[in-house]
Amino acid sequence: MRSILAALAATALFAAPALAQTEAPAGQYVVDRTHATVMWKGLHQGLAWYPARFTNFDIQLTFDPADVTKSKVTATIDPKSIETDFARTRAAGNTTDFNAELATGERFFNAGKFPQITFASTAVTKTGANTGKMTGNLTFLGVTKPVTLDVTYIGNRNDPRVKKHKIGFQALGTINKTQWGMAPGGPIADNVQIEIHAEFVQK
Amino acid sequence: MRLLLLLTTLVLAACALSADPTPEALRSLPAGAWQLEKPHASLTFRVKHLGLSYYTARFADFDATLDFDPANPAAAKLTAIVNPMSVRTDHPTDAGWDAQLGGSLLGGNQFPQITFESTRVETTGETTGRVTGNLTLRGVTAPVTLDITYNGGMDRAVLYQGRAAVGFSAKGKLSRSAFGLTQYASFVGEEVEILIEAEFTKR
Repeated sequence: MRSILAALAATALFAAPALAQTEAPAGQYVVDRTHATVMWKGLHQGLAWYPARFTNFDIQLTFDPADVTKSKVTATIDPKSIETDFARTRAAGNTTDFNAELATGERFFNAGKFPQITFASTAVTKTGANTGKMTGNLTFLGVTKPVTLDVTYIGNRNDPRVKKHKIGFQALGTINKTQWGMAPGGPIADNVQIEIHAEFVQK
Repeated sequence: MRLLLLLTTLVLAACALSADPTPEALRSLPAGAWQLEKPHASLTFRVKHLGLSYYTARFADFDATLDFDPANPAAAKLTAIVNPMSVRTDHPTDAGWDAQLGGSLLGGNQFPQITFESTRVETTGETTGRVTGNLTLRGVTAPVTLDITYNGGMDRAVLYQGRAAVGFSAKGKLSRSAFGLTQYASFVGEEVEILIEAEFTKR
């Protein structure tokens, strides 16, 4: 009987509407990698957008609900963790490791020489009740340039399973990869879309 | 010898390195059967997780055929087959999660294929359209509509050994309970968004 009541209570908690943004406690949060996606898409020869994602990354968030413009984000991405699913789609007999080519190729992420992609926010502005713009310095291939992402706050709730607060976001942006030194005019067009979906858990 | 070199240069010059996004290029594509270029196609779906963020996953193993006459787009036919066991979530710690998701939730243990067969195609603009068809998932068949955008076409694609190529982006939404997907209802939103990027070449 007690376990049924507990299950019902848990369901009710999860079914409850998300608390308002200002009710997420201030402080340090870390990305929950089980519930996060860091991906990019590039237009391939004008035909279709080619997506790839990084599966190993860390994102730290300092969240200030009283003034979200004081919030800070830093991220570290392992370029060797790039995943394209090419191995599942290549023709029989094709042994190309396209993930490795993108990760370590000098024309691409050159991970042997530049083992980390990093981001550090420099400014956050609010554009609406649940939206904002986050500008920061993105570093890869040894080059640091500013990027601005359109951020949407999606929700926050206390996760009773871990007794910690969680906040969720979506961040979208476009970068011109030639600004970081990638050659223009290749099979992937210069303007690459960045798409991040992330849940953060209180530290 | 010189003539051969000249002819080769002319043929290669006639081959396109990047697709033409104009409606004229779409209309000039050859009619008939087209085959999906698997390494340049992606099938992603996402659901709202705990009201916090979009949980994203992809299928790495799927195929599609398209019968398409640009002079009569409403007569086009699209079929697709997806292997539910090819779902990829990049779970950072649970190596068995993809098999559980694909085999149990997505029905792969009982139904080795998820299939789609178009029943109606409408044009909504010079380079946009809507495809409605029957999706069969977990053995349940229900209609799904995809909004399609033509990105570009090439009469002779260098990448594809001189075959004609065309690329589309497509988006759709479905209600997971329409397919009996009621597990994890308290964690996962009802609506599933489908995002497709696909390159086809002329058979």
